[in-house]
Amino acid sequence: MWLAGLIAVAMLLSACTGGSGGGDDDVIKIGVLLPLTGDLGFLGEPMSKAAELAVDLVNENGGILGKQVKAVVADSRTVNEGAREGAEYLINVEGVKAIVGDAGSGNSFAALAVAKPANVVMVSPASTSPDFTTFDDGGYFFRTAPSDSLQGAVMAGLAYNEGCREAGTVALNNEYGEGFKNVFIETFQRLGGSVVADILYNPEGTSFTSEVNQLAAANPKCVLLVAYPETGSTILREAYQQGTLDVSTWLLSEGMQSNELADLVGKDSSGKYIIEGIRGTQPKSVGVGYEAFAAAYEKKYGERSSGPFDAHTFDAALLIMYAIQRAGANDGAAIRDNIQAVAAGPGELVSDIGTALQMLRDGKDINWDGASGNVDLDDVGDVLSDYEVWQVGADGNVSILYDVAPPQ
Amino acid sequence: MTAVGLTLVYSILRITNFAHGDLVTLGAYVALVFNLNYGWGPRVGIPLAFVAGAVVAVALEFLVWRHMRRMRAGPVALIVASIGLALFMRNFLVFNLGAQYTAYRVPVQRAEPLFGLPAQLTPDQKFIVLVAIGLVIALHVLLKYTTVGKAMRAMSDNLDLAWTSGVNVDRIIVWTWALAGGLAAVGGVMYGMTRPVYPELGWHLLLPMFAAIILGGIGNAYGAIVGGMLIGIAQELSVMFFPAEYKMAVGFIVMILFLFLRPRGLFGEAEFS
Repeated sequence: MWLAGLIAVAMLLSACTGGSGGGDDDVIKIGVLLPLTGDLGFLGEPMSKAAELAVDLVNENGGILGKQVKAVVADSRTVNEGAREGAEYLINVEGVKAIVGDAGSGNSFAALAVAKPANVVMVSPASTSPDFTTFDDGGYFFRTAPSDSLQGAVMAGLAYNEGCREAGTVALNNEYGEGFKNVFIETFQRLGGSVVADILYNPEGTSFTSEVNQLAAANPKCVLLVAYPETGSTILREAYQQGTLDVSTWLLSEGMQSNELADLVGKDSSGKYIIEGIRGTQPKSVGVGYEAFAAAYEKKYGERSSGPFDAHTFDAALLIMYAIQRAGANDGAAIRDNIQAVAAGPGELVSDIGTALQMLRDGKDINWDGASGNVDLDDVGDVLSDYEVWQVGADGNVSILYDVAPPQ
Repeated sequence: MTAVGLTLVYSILRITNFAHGDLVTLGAYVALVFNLNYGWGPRVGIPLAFVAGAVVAVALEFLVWRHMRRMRAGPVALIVASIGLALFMRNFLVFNLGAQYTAYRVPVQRAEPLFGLPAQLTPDQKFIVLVAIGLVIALHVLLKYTTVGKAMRAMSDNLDLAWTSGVNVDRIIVWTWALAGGLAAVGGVMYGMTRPVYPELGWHLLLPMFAAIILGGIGNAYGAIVGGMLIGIAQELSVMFFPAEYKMAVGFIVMILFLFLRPRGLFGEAEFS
């Protein structure tokens, strides 16, 4: 409360001093609202880089509406207050009409509460809660990350096909965790399995021993863990300490996919990573434009794109800019009405930024085939995607194993 | 454990110290730096963290709090100053060591049954319990039998009376900060031995710490220990009866119920004014 107030004042002050400098009419600003600190900071940093890369590449290809584009980045700190404050700052101070973000589903809901009444479009590259599909967003919310309604089902199919009939779920008590595990439970039971433990945990807790004991008591053959690395790693470590990790097969949500995870959980006394070999699923993040994106990212930043949502962020930023070009104006409602047209419209399939911009300038329709996939958005703003299985290797790094489809 | 320092500072100095959580974080990071650079285990880090926490807390006394006291700063000004210090310390850590989550590079241990009971603890957890018990005993001896401890208790009862009775107030305040900072930092290392270390670690612990000292009776060191244990145990046992997502709420419900029955807290003394 005190703190939030102080930060808000500080942000306003810095915004005032920063914003008065240049002639803002010459550029089109788009907002980037992502968690640069907090639980999801490790995801948000490369994502914001991917968004800035998209803006740079569009500028190199002549910009949109004859103007250069500027990305304004705000840190949502992986908390709902941060997302709301960030959205208010981007919309009220910077005057953006479209925002790339947020990442966490709860954070996106918080930002959407600000963006929707202000008629500002949000394209989230990472919010995967099924709740967005049915939420009345006034048409202002889109996402290039696929809904968990599919991933929960993919997980359930994977577990069932490997012979697991008694599953336990441990999920973060928020929109992401609850939405994800509900779909998992529904699908798993429909396939014929039973769910013996259904545990939601609060990330603010100081110990997860009782949750892990509760899980162990139910003796599941496989366990679905929907979490982020900070608290998820603690749960895995306690599960190892109590012996639960060895007796059941654990599957992790894409929120846990990180090269840091193995180090956070730790090594055993023989120096082997405890979670070596553990698997998880994630939306497939490789489209026809991926190679070009990855090369451009490495060229600009001198390192490889590592996050599971970098390509989705890249595409989200591009869709916004294409929609502005197609609409002919930087206006929230106009952007909203043109996003689906450039993402899944009747036009020609394009995966080159220069070509796409030139075609839009010539008044032709495009159907963007992006870095993260075909980015075909449906009528409620959801993207259709394929899934893949990843695994933690002996060196603690994550590698992709194979593709997996949702069960029939 | 960490709550003891918070309650001591409150009762002796009348400061609601929001920077206390960041002393906890500091302790966790001191052990981390030695762990990553020299491969020293967090057990070795405990005394190092105690010294570092004490030194930083005393330094802040000389740099900030002493001046604030001379200027007769009110309680709100003190709270704002402590929040400022908290932000400064946290961002100092972020600036120098990064904002990412990390963990001590030590082998993860298996839990073993304790005295044949179903309760399972890892060797590190047993070690933490032993150190905590040892520190509580040491604290008890310090407060009860040493001149410094007696002076601290006198000051928390009545500052002016203690001063007129010849207690060297400034010196005792330095001792208080050293003790509070040291205990906070040790608590941070213990926390880091079971969970990842990150810059907001101590800040997130502030709420449970305040809950523990309120339950125990504000200003009472023993109350803070018992209060902290009561809330922790109530939370963990509640999982047997309620879904785990209500765990945090249970801790606070216990606190509210207790305060209904005994508004001044477990060991709190009635206010005379």
